[in-house]
Amino acid sequence: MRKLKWIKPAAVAFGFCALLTACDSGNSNNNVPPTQPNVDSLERAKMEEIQKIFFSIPAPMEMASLLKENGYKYDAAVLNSTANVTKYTSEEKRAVNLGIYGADLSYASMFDQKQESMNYLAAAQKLAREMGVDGALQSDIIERLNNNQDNRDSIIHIVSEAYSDLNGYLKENDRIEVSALVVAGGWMEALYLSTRYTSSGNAELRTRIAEQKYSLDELIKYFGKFGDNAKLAGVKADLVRLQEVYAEVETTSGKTESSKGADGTFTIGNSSTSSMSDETLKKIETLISEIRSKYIA
Amino acid sequence: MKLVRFIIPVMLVLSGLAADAQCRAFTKNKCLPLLEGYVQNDNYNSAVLIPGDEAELLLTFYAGKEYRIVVGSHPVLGDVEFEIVDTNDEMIYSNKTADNKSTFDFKMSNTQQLIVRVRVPKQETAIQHEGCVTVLVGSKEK
Repeated sequence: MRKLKWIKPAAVAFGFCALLTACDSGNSNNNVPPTQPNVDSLERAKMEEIQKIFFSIPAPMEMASLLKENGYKYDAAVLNSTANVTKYTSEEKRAVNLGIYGADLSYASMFDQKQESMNYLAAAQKLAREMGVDGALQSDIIERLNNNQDNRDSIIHIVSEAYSDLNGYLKENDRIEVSALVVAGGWMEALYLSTRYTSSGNAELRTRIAEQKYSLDELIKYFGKFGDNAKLAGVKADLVRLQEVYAEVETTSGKTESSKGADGTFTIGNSSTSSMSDETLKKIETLISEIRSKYIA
Repeated sequence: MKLVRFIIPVMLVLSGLAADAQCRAFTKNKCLPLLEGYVQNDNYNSAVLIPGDEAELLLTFYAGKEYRIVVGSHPVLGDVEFEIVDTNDEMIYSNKTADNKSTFDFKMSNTQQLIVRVRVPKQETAIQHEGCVTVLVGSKEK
């Protein structure tokens, strides 16, 4: 059985186009994809192949949710100021900070900070515009947020969907490297924010930070698919530096058990664990702070 | 003849772009509604697959959380099968045992990585149609 090999006969492409046009729900918000000059056919083929790869790491909202569930207080001072948005002129910084602002937006919305959420969305939209991917964050999002200001759940849903849709837009409009940088920026910011609360000694938070080893490994593998892509080299090098520290995190695995309860709930689990020493936690805190400072400067 | 040589590549490029844009619309309109009650918490995973294709997605699920996985596929692909296996390839769930349902709800007792494996059934037809397949993950807010 073939696993995602993507050379297709012309007839298939035409057939698909016709069929999917038939099932379009009439959403007219898909913006015209930006053209990308100087992409030769080999590069395009490679990018198209990467577009087919299914890759996922937990969104920043997941870490924000853990902070909220553990009763921590919102702290605007730990976020990347929206005033910094004008500083970012390189594509790398813009993309990474788009991810960082996305994570900050998730954090603000999780803590029901309405005005801050709007500010971070506006900053993210400004970056998207400057990168020529205006359509990545649809213009109606601010209106939807405004209309749902009193409904935290709705705001969280809108922000989560916007984050995913942003990546979808970038992937499908030949900006897949940008998408990778955005995801990396979002992940780094979520890790950074979580390390701001470790002084409380919360065991669950500490474990969650250790468990980021899984996501980091996946992220680096994903970056590896792009080969020696110069646009990703800087961030990849920083992720590898983090991975070297994360190598100190100890993980164990066990046999997976699954069961269905009387109420029909399916439960999955094993005896796997992730743990680290105080020294390793400190190293992670210091390094992620250093890396993040470089990108938000 | 020259015109045909020009038109075919242009149409192929345009059809590819249209397919991509349609996958995003397909995800929004047909798959996201299936996550109702859950907050989407992954990045975008949608691709154009053809009969016989198999795709895998490695995901991290956290202890104590309730999740829903949605595997949405265009009807032209038939009954797309998906299964959840652990990193040792031990089968945990297959939608074949649940009338090819496109969603799976579960709770994690501890953090671990799981693989979502999607298989598009082979078709015995002359023209092999392709269509979007989307994998979404959502979790419940406490």
